[in-house]
Amino acid sequence: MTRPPATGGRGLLHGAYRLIVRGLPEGFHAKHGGDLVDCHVDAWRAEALGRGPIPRLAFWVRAFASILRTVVAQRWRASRRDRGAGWNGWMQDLRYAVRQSVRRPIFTIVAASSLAIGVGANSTIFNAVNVLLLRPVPGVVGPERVADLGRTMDGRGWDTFAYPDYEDWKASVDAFESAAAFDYGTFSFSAGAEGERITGLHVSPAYFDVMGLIPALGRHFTAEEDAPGSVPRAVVLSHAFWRNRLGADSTILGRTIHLNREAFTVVGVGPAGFRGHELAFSPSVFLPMRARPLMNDGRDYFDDRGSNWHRAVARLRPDATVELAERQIGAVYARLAEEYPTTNARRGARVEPLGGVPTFLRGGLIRFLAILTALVGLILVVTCVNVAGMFLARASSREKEIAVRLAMGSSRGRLVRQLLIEALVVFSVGGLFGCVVGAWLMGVVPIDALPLPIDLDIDLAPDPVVFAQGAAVTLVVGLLFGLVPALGATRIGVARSLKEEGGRRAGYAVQLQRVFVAGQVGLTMVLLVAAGLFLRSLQEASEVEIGFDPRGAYVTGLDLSLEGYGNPEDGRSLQAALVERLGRLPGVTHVSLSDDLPLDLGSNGGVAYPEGWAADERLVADFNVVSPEYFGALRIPILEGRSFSTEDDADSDAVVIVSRRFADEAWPGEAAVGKRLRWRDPESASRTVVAVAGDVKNQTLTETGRVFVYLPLGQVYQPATQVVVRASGGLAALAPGIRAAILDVDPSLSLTPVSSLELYTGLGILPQRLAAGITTILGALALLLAGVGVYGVVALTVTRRTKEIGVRLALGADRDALLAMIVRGGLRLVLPGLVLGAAVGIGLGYVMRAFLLEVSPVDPTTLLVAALTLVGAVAFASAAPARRASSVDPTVALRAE
Amino acid sequence: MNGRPPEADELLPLKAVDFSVLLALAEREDYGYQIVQRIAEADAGGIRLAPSNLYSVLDRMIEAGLVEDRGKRAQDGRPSRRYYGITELGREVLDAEAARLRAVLRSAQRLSLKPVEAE
Repeated sequence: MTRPPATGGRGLLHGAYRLIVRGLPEGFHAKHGGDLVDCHVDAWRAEALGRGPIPRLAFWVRAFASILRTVVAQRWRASRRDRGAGWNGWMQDLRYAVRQSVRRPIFTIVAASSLAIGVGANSTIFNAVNVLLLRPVPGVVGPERVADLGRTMDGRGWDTFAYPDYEDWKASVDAFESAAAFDYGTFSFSAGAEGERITGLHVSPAYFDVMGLIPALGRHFTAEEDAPGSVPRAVVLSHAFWRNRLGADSTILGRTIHLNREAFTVVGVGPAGFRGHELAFSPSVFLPMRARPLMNDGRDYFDDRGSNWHRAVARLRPDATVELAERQIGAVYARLAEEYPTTNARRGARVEPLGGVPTFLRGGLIRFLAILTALVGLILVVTCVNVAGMFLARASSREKEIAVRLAMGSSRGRLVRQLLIEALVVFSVGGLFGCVVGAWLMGVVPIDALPLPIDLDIDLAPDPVVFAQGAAVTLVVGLLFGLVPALGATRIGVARSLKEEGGRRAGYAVQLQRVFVAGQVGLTMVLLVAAGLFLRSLQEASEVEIGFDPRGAYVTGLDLSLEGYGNPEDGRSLQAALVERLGRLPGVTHVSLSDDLPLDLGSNGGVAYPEGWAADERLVADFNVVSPEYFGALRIPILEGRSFSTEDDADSDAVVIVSRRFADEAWPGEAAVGKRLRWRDPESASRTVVAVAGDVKNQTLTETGRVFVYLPLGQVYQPATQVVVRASGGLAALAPGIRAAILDVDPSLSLTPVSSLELYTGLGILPQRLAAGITTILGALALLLAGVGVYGVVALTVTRRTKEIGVRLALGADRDALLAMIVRGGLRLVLPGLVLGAAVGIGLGYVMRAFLLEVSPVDPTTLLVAALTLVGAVAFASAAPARRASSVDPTVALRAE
Repeated sequence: MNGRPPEADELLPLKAVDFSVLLALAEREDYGYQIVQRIAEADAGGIRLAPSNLYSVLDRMIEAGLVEDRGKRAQDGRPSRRYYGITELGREVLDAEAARLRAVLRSAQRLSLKPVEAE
């Protein structure tokens, strides 16, 4: 009854699934095998067909995990049932295999450690895939029905919503059981003297229903707290914040806490286990949406269809699909586009299943993880090939034992089974060790040390799925790479092998081992090329002239609007006091405040109307608002004119500094200093250019110099600023002083942690740095393993040819020529692998193109260096056995017969 | 199995998944994936079973005489599938288990148990 399903279910994965089903015990397979495959195909059609890559991947992971479990369980049952000769035979083989492994501890340890590296690397990356893409968001109840929503423009993009639009679609989309608006916030929480910067969410009351939450204490928000015009002063604390910051105070309900110096009454504490619906954003507090104006200088955009500012989530009805919801919401937007063409033309919305990673980041993340998965897959194959080679080498030293057993009537199948079990024992030890190594690696990943502007709170602890994957991978590679050497080793003619004294001929096993080594070399080449491309990207990045010097500068963020300094007069005098106080720290040469920093993943844009241009012509430019010492603190050269000074204040003439590129585009061939321009509004008062500054890279490393405008902080008040301190000393020594100096001015200020400007501006190349680190480690490991493989083959060949070498020497052959011959033999192993590996490496380069900076996927330097490294390693690995062979004493060698 | 068909009581208490399968099949006979979907519904137990697990469960229940193979056929234009139905013994066991659960629930209600408030 092993018929294929009637329709559908073709393809590689379905084939693999059917193959595993064949592994069920005969009786069970005959009764249910075909129906099981039919049922699986039905499930695939209903749950995966036509879905995105994530649901499909999740489906297959589940399907393979459960079918493997069933095969093992049913086999176990069947073997228990007919506990006879069969079972005893298997147990006997297992005991023998364990004894073999213990008797050769070095072999077992080397093979198992090598496998542990392969399996461990795989588990680590799979864990990241599992945590970031597959695992449901922790704490959310019924996560499969929660949807993430984003606004589109012409069907593209993933953007924030306008509140009146949200209210319209919420009222008419019946695919949603509930829908909620939310907005991110950063608040200054004051407890005691010192302020603390915490994150939170403004949410509509339905947010908690959408996530299926039940408060641990008190209540969530009520409909009254969402009524138009109300300004509710209620707050729900996250469980972690309540526990860690407020000591799990059970009398907290009804108490007042201060956020941005506004009083809020605690009405509830969220459930334990819920840490926000996005992995990288754990809100400490939840405030009602209607409290937003309180934290936002009284600004209120609830009735403004032109302002898009909040995000939304929804819970689908049990019978509704994401597609239905999207159709319904699309119909609402079509209607709104007709009613409000000026604001709503071309607007729409997309609905996606909720994932821990925000939808707009998911595409890039999937590509990045896919590349990493491919690379760790390669290293796994390299380690497996290596271990298979080791088994083959061991088997060829046991040729005689095998031949004797065959001669005594043992069947080849029985011998293959025994060798396979021996391999599986070693693979299992390696796999187990690998999973442990992987789990340990996940524990030590310094995720907090990543220089990210947000507080990462991700639970990287591996769950059973990761261990199941590790076990499944080990089993599959163990069967595959254990079977090949077992089949190879038992393919000998009994008479021949016994006659030939286990000796001279380069047997089938050796041939197979050559193929293994060639394959290993090829895969190593692929990894070396990948590592080379990422390293070259980093090298290019470090050589890019960025126009400022982040070394020796330290940065912290400060938002005075959160601290009750809404009034510019108070804010300005506090800023002046801060600069003065920080400037008195020992070793500090410059202190600056600025609205923005270059290469920090964000930028400000505006338009300039330069003097001499037609009234309707304008120049689009990035801009920054900076204090006088900004150019010194970042070491941006002033090419002409003067920097800003403390004299440039609200009472003096309006001034501006422009970048070299701005000057060239606005007034080509003319001196820019002394010219005038209007900023943002063609009717505004004009500003005098007092200097031309050097060009800086502002958004990406690959851009050419930006058209840039600097405005003086003294004339354009900015409450939210980055404080940059240039000083000698190093971060660890300076950070406490910087912090203390700022708090000395106002102890209630809340700061972001002090970090080095280098870390901060290095954010843009974080993926390349991670990838370069990982591929370099993997490449080095692969190189080491390939070297060991080549050494093994050459050493074996040399041993087998000792007599031939002795004869040659006795006949007067030159020792150096002999040495060269053997090394050449080693290098011949490399060539096919090298060529194939380079070709695959170039292909991989094209796949990784998006992550390469200024480096072509076909980079001759990378290919050349990778090839030379590999050839060098192989020559080195074959040199030792070659030297041993060429120093053979002919008389001893000839006696070896 | 030692020849004598088991009494309904001997098979109690039922595993939750066996109870759900019997409940689904008591309503109507059905085939593989339909059974998976029906027992996944909240009012049938809300149990999510992978296809491979379903057949382990069915195999065991057929062996225990609770479920029977009703043969393979195509219905409503769908591809041909094997249908399973509940046996007489299956019905008896289902009734007995339901009665047992009712009694358990009653004693819980007598103690007026409430959900414990989360910490």
